[in-house]
Amino acid sequence: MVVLLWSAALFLSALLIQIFLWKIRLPDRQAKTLLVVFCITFVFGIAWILATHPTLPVFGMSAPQHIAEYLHITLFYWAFAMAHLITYSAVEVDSPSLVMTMTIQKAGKKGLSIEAFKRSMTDEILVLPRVRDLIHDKIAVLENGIYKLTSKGVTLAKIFNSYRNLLGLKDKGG
Amino acid sequence: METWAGWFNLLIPLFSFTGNVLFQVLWFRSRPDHGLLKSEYLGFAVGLALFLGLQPSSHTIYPQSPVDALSIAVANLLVYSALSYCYFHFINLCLTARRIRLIRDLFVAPDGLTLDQILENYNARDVLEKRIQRLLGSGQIVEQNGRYLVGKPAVLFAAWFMVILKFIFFGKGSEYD
Repeated sequence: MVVLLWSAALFLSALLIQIFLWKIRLPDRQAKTLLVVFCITFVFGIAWILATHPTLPVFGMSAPQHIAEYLHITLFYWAFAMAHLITYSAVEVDSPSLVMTMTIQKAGKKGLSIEAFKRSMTDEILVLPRVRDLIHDKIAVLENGIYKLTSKGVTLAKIFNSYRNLLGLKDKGG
Repeated sequence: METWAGWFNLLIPLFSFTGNVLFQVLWFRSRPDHGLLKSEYLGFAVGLALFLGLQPSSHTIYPQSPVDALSIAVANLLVYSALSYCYFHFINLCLTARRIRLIRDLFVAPDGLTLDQILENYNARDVLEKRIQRLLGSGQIVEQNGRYLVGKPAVLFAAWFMVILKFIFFGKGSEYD
C-alpha cells in the first residue's frame, strides 16, 4: 500500500502544480517546463519524505521504510510522468489523423468528400508549424535560408534511426 | 513489507516490460507483413502474461498481507501499463511523427535544406495520403462512393479524449482555434 499511495500522491501533486502553473501562464517551451516541474516535485517530495517521515494524510499511511520501496516509487512516478509527457505532446499539437477522423465524423451520415478536405489541409497547417517547432525547440537552426540540425537534433535523429533499423522499418514514415 | 519481497516486486514490471519489448521486436522482424500494430498488441499480451505469472508467485515466495499483496499487484500492473504505453508511443513516433520525419530528412542532408527542399521531400499531400491509407487499412474510416465515413470508433474516442485534455490545459479544443 505504501508504494501505491505515495507514488500516486507524488504524481498527482506534480500534475496539480502543472495545471496551476499552466493556468497562470502557458510556458514558452511547454514540454521542457513540464519535465522540470515533474523533476522538482519528485526531488523535493522524496527529500521531504526522507527528512520528516510524514504520514500520508487521509489514508494514515506511514512513510516508505526500505530502499526497494523508494526505488519502486521512483519507477512508478517516472513511468507515469513519461506517459503524461508523451500524452501531453499529442495534446500540444493536433494529430492529423485525429483531426481527419473528427472532421469525417462531423460530416455525418453523408460522409466527407476527401478532395474538399485535402484542399483545406495545406502545408501552412500540416508541415510549416512543425518546421517552426524544430527551430523553437533548438532541434534545428535556420542560417541564410538553410535549415540544419543542431547537435540535439542529430542525437534525436540517431536515436530514432537506430530503433527504426532495429525494427527493420522500410517506410520513410511521417 | 519484507525487503526481499520489495526487491522482487520492483523487478516484476521491469521483467514483464522487457518481455514485451523483446517479443515485439522479434515478432515484427520475423513477420513484418503482419503489421506493426499487431506486433505491439502481441508484445503487450506476452508481457502481461509474464506479469500474471510472476505477480502471484511474489506472494508465494515472500508471504505478505493480502492488502499489501493486492496493492503491490495494482501498482505493478499500473507501472507495466504505463511503460508499455510509453513504448507504444515511441514506436509510433518512429513511424508517424511529422517532426521526427523532418529531423530524419535533415539528418541525411549534412549541408542542410531550404524550405522548398523540405517541402519537396515531405508535404501536406504526403501527410494526408499516408494517414488516409493507415486509417482505411485499420478500418477506422471506410470509403463509400468517393466519400469517407467513420468505421471503427477507436481513433474517434482518442480524438475526443484529446479535445477534453486540450480544454483542461489550454481552454480550447484545437491548436487552430
